[in-house]
Amino acid sequence: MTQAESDTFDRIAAPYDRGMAPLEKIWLREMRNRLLPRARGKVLEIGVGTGANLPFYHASVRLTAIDESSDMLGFAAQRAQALNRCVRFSQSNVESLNFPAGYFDCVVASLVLCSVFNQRHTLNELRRVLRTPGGQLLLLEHMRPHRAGLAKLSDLANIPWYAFNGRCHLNRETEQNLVQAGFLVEQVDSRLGGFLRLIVATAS
Amino acid sequence: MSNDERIAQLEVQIAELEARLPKHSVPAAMIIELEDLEDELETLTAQDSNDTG
Repeated sequence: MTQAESDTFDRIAAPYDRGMAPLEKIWLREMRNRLLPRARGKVLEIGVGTGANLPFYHASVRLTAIDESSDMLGFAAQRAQALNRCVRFSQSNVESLNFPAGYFDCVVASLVLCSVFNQRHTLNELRRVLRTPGGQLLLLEHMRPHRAGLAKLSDLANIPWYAFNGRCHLNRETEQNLVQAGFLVEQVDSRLGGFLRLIVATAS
Repeated sequence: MSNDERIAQLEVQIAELEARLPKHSVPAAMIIELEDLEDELETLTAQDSNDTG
């Protein structure tokens, strides 16, 4: 992870929750509430950001949360403290994990895979650190919609969007890449024509 | 070493390690070390309560 990569997220850490508030209210909070109580055992959350998922985990979960940005981790740590939750935070690159193979029972990513540099490599890393068989991957991600009109729109909008922020892509084929990385997709719940998807997958 | 002695030893080791954890960024190696100790403690505690229960 370079300093510039980390700085990208440090810059948006303070206004992030305020900026995301309308989306949280309309879609994300309800989706997080459906997805995260499924996490069990040793859980790794990559790209924890400001910790928006933390209130939704079951109390018994043993949670390790990583992010590239120290500022994001600072906000997440404050949230964990307010919730009285034990979370082990680590500043590290989400695309190259320092954990042994098969270490986690569950890996969580929400609004992260749009912004990694190499999504296929990242998905391979997530599969590596998951227990096999049966390790669970829980995703809440935006991606290229399955409706043709919306898919075309996301392709067009991606050009200025990516030029503006330099990290987030609007049109990644995340669900297909997941299958190619060796995950078995068990459940998909879509919003906005498939632009937002909640995905439950297992490492096969 | 008895179970009770090992449990007491693990509790001390965990407390010492937790006291050394950096607040915002814990190296993966420390997380793994801590979780290994917690796993062992959990197993021994369960054994202990089975034996006494």
